[in-house]
Amino acid sequence: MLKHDDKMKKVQVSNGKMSFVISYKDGLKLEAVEYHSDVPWLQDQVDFFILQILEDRIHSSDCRIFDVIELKDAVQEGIAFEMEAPVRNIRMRVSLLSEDSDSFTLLYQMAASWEDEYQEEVFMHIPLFEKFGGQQNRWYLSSNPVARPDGRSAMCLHSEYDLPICNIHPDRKRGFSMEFRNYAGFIDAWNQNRNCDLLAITDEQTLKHNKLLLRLSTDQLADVFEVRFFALEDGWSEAFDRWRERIREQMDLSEYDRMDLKWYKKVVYQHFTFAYSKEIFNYETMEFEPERLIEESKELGGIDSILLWYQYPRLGVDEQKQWDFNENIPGGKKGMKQFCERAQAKGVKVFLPYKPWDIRFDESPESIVEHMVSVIDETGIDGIWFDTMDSVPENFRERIDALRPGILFCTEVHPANTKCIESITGSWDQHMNNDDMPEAFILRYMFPENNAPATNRWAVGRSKDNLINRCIFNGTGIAVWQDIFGAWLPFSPAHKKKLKHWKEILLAHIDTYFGKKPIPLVPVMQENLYANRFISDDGAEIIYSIYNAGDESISGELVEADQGYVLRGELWSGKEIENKDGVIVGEILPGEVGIICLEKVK
Amino acid sequence: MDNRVKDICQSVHILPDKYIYRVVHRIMEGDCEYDHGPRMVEIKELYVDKYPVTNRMYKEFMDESGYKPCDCNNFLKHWENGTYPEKLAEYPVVWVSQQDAKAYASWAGKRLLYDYEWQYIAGGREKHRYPYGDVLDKQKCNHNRGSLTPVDEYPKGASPFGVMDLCGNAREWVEDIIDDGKHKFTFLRGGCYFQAPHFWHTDGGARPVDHHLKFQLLNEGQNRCQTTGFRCVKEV
Repeated sequence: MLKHDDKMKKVQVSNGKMSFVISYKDGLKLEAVEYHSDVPWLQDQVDFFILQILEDRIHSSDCRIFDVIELKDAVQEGIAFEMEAPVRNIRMRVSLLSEDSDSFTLLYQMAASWEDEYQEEVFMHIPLFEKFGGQQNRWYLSSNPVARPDGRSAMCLHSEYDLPICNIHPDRKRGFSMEFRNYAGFIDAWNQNRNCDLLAITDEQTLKHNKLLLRLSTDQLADVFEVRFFALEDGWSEAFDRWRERIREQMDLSEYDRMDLKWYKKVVYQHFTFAYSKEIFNYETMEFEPERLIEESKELGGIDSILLWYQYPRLGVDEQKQWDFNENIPGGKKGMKQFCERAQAKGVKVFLPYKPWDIRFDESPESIVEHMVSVIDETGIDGIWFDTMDSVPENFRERIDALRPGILFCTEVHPANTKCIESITGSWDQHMNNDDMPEAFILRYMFPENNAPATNRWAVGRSKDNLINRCIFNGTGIAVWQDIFGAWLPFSPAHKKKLKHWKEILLAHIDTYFGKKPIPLVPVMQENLYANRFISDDGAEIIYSIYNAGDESISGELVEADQGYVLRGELWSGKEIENKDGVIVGEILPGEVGIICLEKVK
Repeated sequence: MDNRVKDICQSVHILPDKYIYRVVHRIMEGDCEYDHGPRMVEIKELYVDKYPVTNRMYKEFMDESGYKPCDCNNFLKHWENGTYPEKLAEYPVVWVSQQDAKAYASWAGKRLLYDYEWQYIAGGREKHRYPYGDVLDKQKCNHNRGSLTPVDEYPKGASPFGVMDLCGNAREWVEDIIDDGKHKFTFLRGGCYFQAPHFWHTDGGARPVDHHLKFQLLNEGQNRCQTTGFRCVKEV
């Protein structure tokens, strides 16, 4: 609803969930923001912008508002202010539009007519963030929604998906979510829209004291800032859930519904199998021994797939290509077929890698996919693992489907973009840092159907514990990788014991862990605690994976218990926990995880 | 036997010596569980093949010994009907595994060079970076020419001891087999005529004398390479 008092030079835009009051009497100021029309959210009125061009500092009060335009059609309504600065021929348009019944979009556009063709740097400050929300409110920044103890983001992010910036009341329920549209395809380009700068901010002070360098090239108005506001009733969890839903509803995720690819859902422990290793190869018989590997892997819970690796780092010693090696290994392709049959007889799938970088002058996408078809056809492998790749040429899928359904595509690294997530149903959550705490991996929560076991090839000792913690924290499987092209970095008996225990829990609660609505980094009751929430699609069970990133044991209140659920227990260590007045109370040791399970009251 | 063949069959006398062995290599992924020095090593009195073993020489071995490997996959893949194409007679024999090479050496009453011996013989007491000097010189070795050349193609590429064709052309197997408990590997020496295009490929071309390439052993079909031959040595 739009109320415009042109005598008082005041505009109110509201939708029942929030209200924005704009005054244009003395410059253009945001006078009030109200949550549900009764809770003030702005500490003080603020200028919409402050510009700095060389020595000139320009407030909105310095500008002439030469037009105020009411906007309305069958879907939207709002207001636009046309302004011009007293110097440098800067022109602006600020508009506030209802997007739907639920949100507002605030848009800044600017243009400059330079006296000659040479532009100057224009800096813009947006004071809104300094006064937005109470002092005790919590900011969730797009590039650092929840910080680790050292201040860095506790979430492993993805460049394709920009989380909203949220401001949440201490009650953890009421708040605003701000989504910054970011159409910058190439992040290093100096795009005119500076939303990307705000999205990149990782601390509250920088947000509040933002200073955006604009590139105003011509007298044509360019978008420089655009934000969509949502009022929240369930805090961060709602913000994440709604943001995720808006992304997913624009996607075609039907590939994940394919019955022939469903088998991959339970392939949670995958094995990177370096062929030149006694882990799989017997130098006496000169044969691979998949049964022995599978048997030995039972110590860590058993493996569900083998990625047999024999090309790199051998490729390049001579002119042979990756495809030639399929004939060289024990028994050639027939031997590989027997290898697959032996593994498959034990319930273990087999993947072979494809290396996009091993390409020669006489190869093309067509010839490569035909090689793949030949390998699949003659060996009976279950999937292709795309080495170094975050995407796969589209025709590969179609061509291989034409040969035989059920061949799984898995990329080595996180999928590059939306298209890849739509078309490639497996990936590895591969990281190489040895951080001291497990991150929440954003794609895991956006697309839980994309089975992405975690792996960290170079981890040893404590880093291997961290890797296992990452699996537990994010509710994923693992890619067991012990032989890194000749560097033998095995899991210790203690690691294996942990892995076995984790797999038992993961499989026993797989419908909960892989429900459609997991939430990363939910609010917790104490500092240095981090928690993710998983819920089965039927709502029967909720699991919190919780991690203590501090140096000391944390006991007492951990997370709020969900109403209508009873506590089933702590699944990882079996420690005593209880539900005290709606709060889970227990103890988490430093550097350790806990798994809190709740059941719906029947 | 013509003079050319006679020359190719010659050995070079190496006197006993000691030197500081230090070897390096490009590091991608994986480890090379080996003492890369610096360490003192002792060179015994040797007679080292002046040239790599050629196709012609390997054929003589085959004919006389009746050698047939257990796993023939890729064995002498470039030969046709049990023999080499005539024009390749004095080319280094390739598509032989380390075991095939050792079988030849044994038949000849010799062995392969150890990694540290190869380095000494290639660099000389002067410790040249390349057999012929310290700077890569494409006129003196088959560096990245794209195909093998006869072993005597580069007479100016001789090492200080007069040993030929050590650098570029065909890589060379050495005697060593390292078992680090989990893997078996050896080294290839000298580089070769071929250089694969990508960052992730193993390096190629002529390699400096103090570089070796870790080669992880698997079954014989995979061990045999289009770029790799050998030369022998006899201890006095």
